[in-house]
Amino acid sequence: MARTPVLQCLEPKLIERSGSRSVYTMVVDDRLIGRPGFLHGGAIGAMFEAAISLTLSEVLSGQDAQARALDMSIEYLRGGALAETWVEVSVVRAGFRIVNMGATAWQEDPGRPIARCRMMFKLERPTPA
Amino acid sequence: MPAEPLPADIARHVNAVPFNAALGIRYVRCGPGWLENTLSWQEDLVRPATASIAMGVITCLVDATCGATILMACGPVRSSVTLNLQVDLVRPASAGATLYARAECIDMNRQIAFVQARIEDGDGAIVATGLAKFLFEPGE
Repeated sequence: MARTPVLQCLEPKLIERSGSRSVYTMVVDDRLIGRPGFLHGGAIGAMFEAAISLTLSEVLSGQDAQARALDMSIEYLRGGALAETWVEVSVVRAGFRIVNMGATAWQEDPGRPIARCRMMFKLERPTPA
Repeated sequence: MPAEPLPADIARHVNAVPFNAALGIRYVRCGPGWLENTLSWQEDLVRPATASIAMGVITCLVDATCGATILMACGPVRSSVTLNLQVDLVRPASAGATLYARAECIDMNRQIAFVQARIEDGDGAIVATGLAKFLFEPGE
């Protein structure tokens, strides 16, 4: 059976966008397993990055700016099951040179997050400020 | 000190994790308290907007390498979970480059281990650094 490349299988689906908040769902398949029965911590990280990057490209649409990821920090709060995963992304600060993004992931219950993440991006613009 | 695990067991441990296999993360070698993995360039790991390996993939490599290093530093463990992970993307990986990740346990106590990782391309240029904390339960 042909399968989509592993990063494409993480492609987040937008559920809701209001202001600087966006909510996505992610399809989970058995390639994302780390220890038996649980999502790989790196897979959760890749989900965060996919959802955050998508939100960032929305934020930057219409601007002549290229974003380069500088860092990523993840706190793992609970084991992630092999189940549909929701990611809420928020734009913490969108500056001219630096953008700070935050995200939280949960399954079933938004009150019981499985992990949270923050990322920082440098914006490259054609002309210096 | 508990007996050190055999490299063959560590290799199996790294290579058999489904998500590691899906991304192409492979065990290279290990020693007391440290471990190396590698990741070959694949087009489907590239984020088109940046034409470089996605940061999420770099994060996976850090997590997988630091996580396996626990076995080299703490001996047999009943369980080990990642508490947190910090990754700095120092320089985007150059196109086509195979990445090498080396992680080292910098300190540990009865239940917490601190692991540092460095990711380089084949020419020794630094791509990323990582720091992870693990909660582990000693086994046997």
